[in-house]
Amino acid sequence: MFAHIALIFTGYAALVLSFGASLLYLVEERALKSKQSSGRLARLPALEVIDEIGFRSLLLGFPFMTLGLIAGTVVAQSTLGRVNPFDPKILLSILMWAVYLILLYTRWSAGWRGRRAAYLVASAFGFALIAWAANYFSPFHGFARL
Amino acid sequence: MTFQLLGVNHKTAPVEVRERLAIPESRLPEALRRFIQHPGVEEGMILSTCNRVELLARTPKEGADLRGFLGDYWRVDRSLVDPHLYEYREKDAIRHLFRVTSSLDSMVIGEAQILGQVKDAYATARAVGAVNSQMDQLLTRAFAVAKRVRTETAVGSSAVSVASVAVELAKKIFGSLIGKQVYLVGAGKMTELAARHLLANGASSIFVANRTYDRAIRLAQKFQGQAIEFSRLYDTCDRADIIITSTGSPHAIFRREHGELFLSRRKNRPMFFIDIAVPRDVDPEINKLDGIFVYDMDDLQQAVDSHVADRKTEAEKAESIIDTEVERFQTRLETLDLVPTIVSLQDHLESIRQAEIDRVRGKLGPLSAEQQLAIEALTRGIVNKIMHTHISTLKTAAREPEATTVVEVVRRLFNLGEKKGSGGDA
Repeated sequence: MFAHIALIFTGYAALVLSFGASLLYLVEERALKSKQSSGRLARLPALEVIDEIGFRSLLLGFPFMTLGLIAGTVVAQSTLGRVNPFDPKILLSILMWAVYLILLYTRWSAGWRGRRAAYLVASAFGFALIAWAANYFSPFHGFARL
Repeated sequence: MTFQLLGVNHKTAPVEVRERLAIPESRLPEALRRFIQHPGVEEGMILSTCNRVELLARTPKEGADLRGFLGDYWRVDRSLVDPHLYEYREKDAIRHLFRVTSSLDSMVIGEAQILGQVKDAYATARAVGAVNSQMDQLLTRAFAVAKRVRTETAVGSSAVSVASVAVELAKKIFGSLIGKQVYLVGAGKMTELAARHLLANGASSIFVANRTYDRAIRLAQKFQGQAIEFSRLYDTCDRADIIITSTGSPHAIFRREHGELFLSRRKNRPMFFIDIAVPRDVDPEINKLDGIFVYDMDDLQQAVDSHVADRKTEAEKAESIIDTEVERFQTRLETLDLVPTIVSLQDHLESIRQAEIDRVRGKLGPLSAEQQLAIEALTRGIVNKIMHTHISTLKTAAREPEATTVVEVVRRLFNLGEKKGSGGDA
């Protein structure tokens, strides 16, 4: 149970970091394209550095998220015996994980970065938020009842 | 004593005058030796760069005829040079030196080269023994001021040439340029300059494509790069991270569809187009593609202009630093100037001597002229012995960094009172 929570949390943290990096990427890309070279831009790290940070944290976070979900399944099966695949929390978590996977795949195959990658990261992040909120509607994720 | 400075620079003199006065490095020691033999020059330094020639000297209060040295050494027609000369004394000379060293008087404000040039001039002057004590302190202070200006203001921090702006932008996109590939399209002077800058900053290999293949080969050889036939341009461009174009083509060479092609081949790794051709070689539409950045000549020039404006604002901050530093150095010089201290020390001891003689004179009864003289000689002897030690201590101390403190201590010990700023001839 502890493993499940710790792993998922690390996965979330990496996702948040990646989300922050992609926001920075968009800000800096816009500044560079509109040719405003001074001011705020001067203090940001280079575009490729930001991109690298975002990608690395995704790469690092993904195994944690995957193992976390597997651990969750194992825990659920041993305690509840049977898992309802249509539980909203589980459904959303799997969706988020899928977007995560797409993100890594497009990056690897087509090198998606910048705006498109940022939108994907943002949507993964959105699913993560909803999945988090879904705790309140899921019968066995409610912390209040733990 | 006083500092005196005579010179010409890029603002006051055309290049014909400056080059007439410039002294090559090899002849500088000889020039310095002659300079310190010039009447009135106690210490001296000569700064000769392509933008300025300046003589700096420590001279007696009444000054020296530095213009005379100009005529003697260069044998130039004075009427030709005189209208372009500027001459400063005392505070103004110190201020000018501080401004020059801090690069506020440079053609490109804030450029870093001048500090090194002044340091070289100083090193040469030191080597031939043309500077010691006071000039030493002045120059040391000037270097400290330059450092202060550099760290406390942003006067030298932004790029102010087209080539360096391009490098700065490339770094903003790629982080480090190490291992980045540069592609030159068109083999002009400007592309060559920009490429040189990029390579100096770590970019690795160079490709050159040019309509005349021979020129491509020649330029590629210069950088140990690879020449590419112009017909293969679109097939090879995706290998480059940075593309510098300057062809004479009347139409854009790179259009949106080319950008899309390159991006898909490069797996969307970013590309930086530097378009220095007029008319432009790169269709501005490409800039809209995710991951491609296009800067044309106007964009680069605009960045340069805004950086130059930034430097001007920073230079104003620097001027106020210089003002305080000049004041500080001036005060220090006045303290260092020993004459007033020695005079008041002498006066002080003399008045003690007189008072003591007057006090005991009555008790001695009538004295012969010889006895009178003996008493005078005895008391004077004591005072002079005491004075001698103190004066030599002061003179030695004046050459040390802690001189100000020592002079202050002596003044306090003998209760010589606060110094008046006008007391010295500094």
